[in-house]
Amino acid sequence: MSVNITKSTIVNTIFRNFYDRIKDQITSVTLSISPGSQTIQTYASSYSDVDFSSKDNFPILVVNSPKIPQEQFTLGKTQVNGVIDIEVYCTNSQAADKFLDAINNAIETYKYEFASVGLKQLELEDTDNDFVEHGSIKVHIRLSRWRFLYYFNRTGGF
Amino acid sequence: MPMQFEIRGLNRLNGFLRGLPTNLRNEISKESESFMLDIRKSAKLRAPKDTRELANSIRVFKESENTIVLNVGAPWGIFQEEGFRPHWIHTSMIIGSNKFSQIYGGKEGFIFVSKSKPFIRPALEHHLNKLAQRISKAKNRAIQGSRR
Repeated sequence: MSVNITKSTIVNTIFRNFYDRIKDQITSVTLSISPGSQTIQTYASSYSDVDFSSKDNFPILVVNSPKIPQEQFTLGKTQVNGVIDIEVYCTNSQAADKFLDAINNAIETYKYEFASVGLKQLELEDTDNDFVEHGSIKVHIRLSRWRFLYYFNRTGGF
Repeated sequence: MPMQFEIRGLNRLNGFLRGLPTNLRNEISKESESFMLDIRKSAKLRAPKDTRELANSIRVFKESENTIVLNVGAPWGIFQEEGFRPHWIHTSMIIGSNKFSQIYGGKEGFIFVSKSKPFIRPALEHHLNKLAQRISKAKNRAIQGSRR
């Protein structure tokens, strides 16, 4: 399930770990109001992929590319102070809230698996909610921002 | 009677104070950039999506060390933001490959445009109430970083 993270493919492999975990754990939620349940229609990697043309396209789950600012940790190690945003776009507010809970729970529950590939101190940095309207389509957006640390061996150079 | 005090940890304190301004500048700069990128994303989501040209023209760039600019490239962006009077536009004015050119391409006539859709101000309003909290978090990270 987990993908080993390497220095040369750091962005892609970190993204893959989150994407696979989310895709595996989150498919649908049950609702107390109509339509009873909602199933993720698309798993995307960028919000620009969100198509507002039809209600049938929603819910959409977006695992964004991680940001990986780095700093020197020790003489031989670099510390990556990573941030990854996971968003869900729904036409139903209750579904959006439930998906947000499911996303946070999926990451929280599998922290040890993330740690096993080197993603340490995984913490929920922030959540956000937003609402946009496009014609007759009302979209509820929920964002979950996770912060993590990753260490790799520096290449020596002088 | 002379008394002597020994103060320990001054070297660490000096190191902390030396590192703090740089760390603070870096963390706040990173957070500001992230804040502006969030506003860009929010504005893009709110922008009229009929042709996508307006949404695609919204970009963020760093003008100087302390200035980050949110720029709307599409010339009609200002009218969507500030509003306009209802008016007719001739179909010959529709250019490029988009939803309108597919519908009206090659046809003679006018389209009635009546409703503007602000996208920058709502995005700013949504994110501004979190700015203080974000700056505070960045400040805490800088202090944490300076302690090492």
